[in-house]
Amino acid sequence: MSLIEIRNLSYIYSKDTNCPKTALSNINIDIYDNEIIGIIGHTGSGKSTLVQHFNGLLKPTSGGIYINGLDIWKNPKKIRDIRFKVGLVFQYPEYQIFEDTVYKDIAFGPCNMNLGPNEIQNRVIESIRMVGLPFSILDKSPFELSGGEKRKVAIAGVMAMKPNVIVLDEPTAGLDPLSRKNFIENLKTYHSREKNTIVIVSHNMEDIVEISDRVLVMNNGRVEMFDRTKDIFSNGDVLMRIGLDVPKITKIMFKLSNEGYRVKRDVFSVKDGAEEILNLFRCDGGLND
Amino acid sequence: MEKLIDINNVNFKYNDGNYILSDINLIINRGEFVSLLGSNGSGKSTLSKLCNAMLMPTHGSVTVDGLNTIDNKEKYNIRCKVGLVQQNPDNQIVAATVEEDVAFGPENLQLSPEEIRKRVDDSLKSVGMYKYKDSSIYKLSGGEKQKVAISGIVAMQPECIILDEPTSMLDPKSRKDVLDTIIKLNKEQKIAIILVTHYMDEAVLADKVVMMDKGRILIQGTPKEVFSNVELLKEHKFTLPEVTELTEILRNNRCDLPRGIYDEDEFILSLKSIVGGRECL
Repeated sequence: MSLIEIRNLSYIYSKDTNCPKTALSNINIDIYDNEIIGIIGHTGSGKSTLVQHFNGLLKPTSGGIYINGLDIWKNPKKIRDIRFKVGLVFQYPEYQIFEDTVYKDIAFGPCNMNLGPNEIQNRVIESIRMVGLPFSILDKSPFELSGGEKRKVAIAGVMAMKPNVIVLDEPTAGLDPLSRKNFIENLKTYHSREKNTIVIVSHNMEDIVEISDRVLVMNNGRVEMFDRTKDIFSNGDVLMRIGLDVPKITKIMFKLSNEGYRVKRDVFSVKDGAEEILNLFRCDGGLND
Repeated sequence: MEKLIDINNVNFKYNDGNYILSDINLIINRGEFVSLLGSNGSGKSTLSKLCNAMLMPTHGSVTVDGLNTIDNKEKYNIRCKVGLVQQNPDNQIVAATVEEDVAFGPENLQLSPEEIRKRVDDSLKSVGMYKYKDSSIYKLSGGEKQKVAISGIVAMQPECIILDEPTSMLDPKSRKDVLDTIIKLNKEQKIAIILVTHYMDEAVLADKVVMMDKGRILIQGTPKEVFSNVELLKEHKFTLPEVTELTEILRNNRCDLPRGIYDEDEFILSLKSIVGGRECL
């Protein structure tokens, strides 16, 4: 059974005004337990609107969303329970920070879950380690931190609640390449330890390739494609037509292949790309006639 | 080449804090395109703020077109010469419609209405946003807003535009669009560009690449010079452009490729020249 089931979901902003705007039309998707789903799409394609439905921040204009088979809007009073199951990290999560120490900020969620003090402390320590910040930062004011550090603190705050599903909207925008790489690695470790489900929205194709089991491609409020990562990025032409891209290494392999070199087109890491090219030297000549 | 911004032996700290920048020596020439790379917290944004008198050096001096940034009288002139575009377009919009937003700068220069009209139209055309001049800004996409923000600076007719991670919130197509606009302004209007970025593929578009590490300039030069120093960059945990990384792996496997390749097409050309000749195993 799917963990998150979305059926015929549509969402219209400012529905009862004279300038309604359809953000999502007729979305049908299933997300299964323990998956990592990447979501890509041009600005305004409906990615953020969609993920805000996952924890009931937005109510569908029509259609439904089911978590573990239960319609989350069946009893609107219980919507708060959903927010403990599905944790959402917004774009610019650094704006969500409000406490006077990093420790308190991360502990805020777990405190509201009525956990014991030891458990709260364990969770704070575990999450700060997970986002790759030193323990010494716990006593600092969040407002002394750099942009990248603040973002990590905000993410740790959601991780500390250990939701079944964690949704991250552009978590790596503005991080330097090394921090970005480490963040993706840590997220993978967290995923394999917690056996949870992760949904990550990003404009960075390298990140999406690196981490996702399946990729959802949004275009103008509709689902353009939803498939295994490898299959999505083999469709370079479709992606580029709708304002997206393939990872740079994949682009190089496309170009080599178009030049007549016998290389695979579904290559997503520099290491695999190098291996493919070295193979050219191993077999004869390497050029197709 | 003629100097535009001269950063001479600059150290910088906030109040009693530690030094954020140390021993910075950097020259931005007129019409030059410079990219500034470095990890979060390496001092890139601080350095760019020193260039238009938003911050003053603690030691050393920064001059813009011969004007020293510590000279209070010249601050206004300096900021007319060097404009700044920030990462988040939503934080730098001041008006409701596109043309009003772009007119804000020229209005503050107390120009005549005709001149303001002309500058607004010209600058919107130069970024390809003229047809949106009457649109509400809030209906634009992130990339479009960013182009309006750039247009607002262009209308001030600056000598130099600093862009602090202008594309980090944008999708791939908008990113390309904004970059093309930046390149066009640089090539056609000879406006000097300082581009702060984490994207290697953006950085290599510049005439000069400056790598910052812990508040110091680690290395500066043409993209080729900088990306040929693979060991130094790796030692300081810089990520290489994909093509450079790929070339390095191949070189380590005895492929006879030159160092410092950062462009896809150059890579393919170099590869072609050796693949038939079997110069590696």
